[in-house]
Amino acid sequence: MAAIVGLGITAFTEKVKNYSGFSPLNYLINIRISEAIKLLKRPDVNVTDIALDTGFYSSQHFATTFKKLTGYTPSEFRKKNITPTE
Amino acid sequence: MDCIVTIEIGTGAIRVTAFDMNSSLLGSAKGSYPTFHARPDYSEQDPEQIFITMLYILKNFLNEKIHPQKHNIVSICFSSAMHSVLPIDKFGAPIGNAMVWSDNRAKIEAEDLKNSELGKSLYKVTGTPLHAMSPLNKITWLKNNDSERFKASKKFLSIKAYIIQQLTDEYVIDHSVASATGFLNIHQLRWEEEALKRAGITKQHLPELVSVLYSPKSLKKEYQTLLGLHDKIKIIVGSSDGCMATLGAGVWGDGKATITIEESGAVRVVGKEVIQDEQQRIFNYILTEGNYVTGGPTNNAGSTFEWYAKQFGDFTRDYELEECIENMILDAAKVSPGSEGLIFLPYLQGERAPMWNPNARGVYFGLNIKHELKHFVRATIEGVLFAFYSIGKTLQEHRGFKSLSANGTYASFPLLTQIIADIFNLPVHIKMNSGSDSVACGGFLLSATELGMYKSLDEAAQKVKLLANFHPDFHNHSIYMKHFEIFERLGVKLHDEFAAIARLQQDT
Repeated sequence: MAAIVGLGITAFTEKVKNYSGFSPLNYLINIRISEAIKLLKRPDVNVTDIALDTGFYSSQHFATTFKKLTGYTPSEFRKKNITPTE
Repeated sequence: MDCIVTIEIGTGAIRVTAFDMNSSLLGSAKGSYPTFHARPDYSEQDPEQIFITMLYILKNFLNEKIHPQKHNIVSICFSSAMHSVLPIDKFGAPIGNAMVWSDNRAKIEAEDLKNSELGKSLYKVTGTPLHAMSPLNKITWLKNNDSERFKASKKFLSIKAYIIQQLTDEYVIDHSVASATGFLNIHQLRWEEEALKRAGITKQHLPELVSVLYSPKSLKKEYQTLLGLHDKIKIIVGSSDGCMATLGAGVWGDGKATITIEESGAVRVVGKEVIQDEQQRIFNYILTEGNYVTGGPTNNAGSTFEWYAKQFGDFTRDYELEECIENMILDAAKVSPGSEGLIFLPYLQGERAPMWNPNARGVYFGLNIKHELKHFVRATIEGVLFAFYSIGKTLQEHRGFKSLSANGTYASFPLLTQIIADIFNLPVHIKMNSGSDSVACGGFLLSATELGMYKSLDEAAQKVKLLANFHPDFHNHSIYMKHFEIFERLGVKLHDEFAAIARLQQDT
């Protein structure tokens, strides 16, 4: 990725970190998890599909990353978030 | 050691800041997120990305700066940008992205309302100018143009209301952010029936109204564990960033005004009464009951400097944008006040106060054969600051002030602060020890007052130490005024041409 924009790895990492507050890898994970959250809130898509669609290599890998970032496993998160308002 | 944490959900970034109980800065962290422009008038942000960014920045900040030092967090106080609209469905899931303050798609709805009798009476009761920024017009736009999304919307939240709901399960909106929606009767602190009717909604579509000092019951267990926070911490929903910046700049009481220069900017005064402007040029927002922040926003501040630097700046030595802007400002110092007769109208993104014209566009006026690049730089800076002066002048028709407090990223450049002093012909104060921004500082003062450390917000605001190191030069002031007269007349005279060129640009 650094090469595409013509920067060294250190400079690239620093620029991404300065902007987003994340390292490049974590920034990518942030975007993937943001997408995953949207899909988890739609009851018609299954968790494994969400994991693969958002670029994780297995549902296990997805679940661990998701829990680390949000404190929930994907299925707990879904259960808590598709209860009707009021 | 006890500490207070503030979380600022800004237009472009989350900023987390911690203070000890003596208001000294313990540390801060920041993470940005993008704004999407699917069409020229659209400005949207992804609520999930904002939420995840907030969670990540907060978690890392706590793990790096707070927990290892065994600091005890007493309170966490939120603030956010105004005017955002996020529709959610019956399960509480966002339907698409949030529309942020700069989203202009509702300009026709705004214009229609402004020209009606209903508009006049709504401005009086809500204090919010009838502009595309206002959630009242944004939701009306959804009703008129995207009925599928409108019908599926169970509630319309602000970005902050969404974040707080995710963390605590409560749907609440504070009086301060609510007072910028166009739906709040600011005299009686209730949703205004006529406004709701106009947008085709009922009060069930909006979160519950609460004071800025409201404390949700607790963080969800999962977030307590994730963030290492105990359930005794007082969560304060807080206010809008504009009101916080005013409090945090120490401007509370008569005779003072703040000038904030970030991406966009504003001039604000504080008082116990709402100011009614016949021409609807100014806003009235609430911090706490009976404390009104009145002022006017400009669209074109830091964003204009950035635009100029990107187009005309010197990047040959691999300068960062910030460095490039710093160098530009050094160049501007080489030119005398008035830029030798070059005048800039900075309306690249239309303008809000005092002209409220989304069609306004940028103009360099008075160009002659002797003008060089450095004159453009100075004229650009002066033009942006003239726009601030237009707002200040409008406010002074209602409430005079004798000094200014400058804050925001660009207020810290001495040349800019001096030009402000000269244009306004008033002393300009800046904060001593500007390690923390005014919004975070306002969050600290609000929390500390709520925790009983100060008797009132007036007392809290007096704790902000200000320096008066910029005094006006009357000679420069009179030069600026000669240029400002032309600046002001051009803005009025070009009204029809602005409309024509905006139409052309829309079609291309």
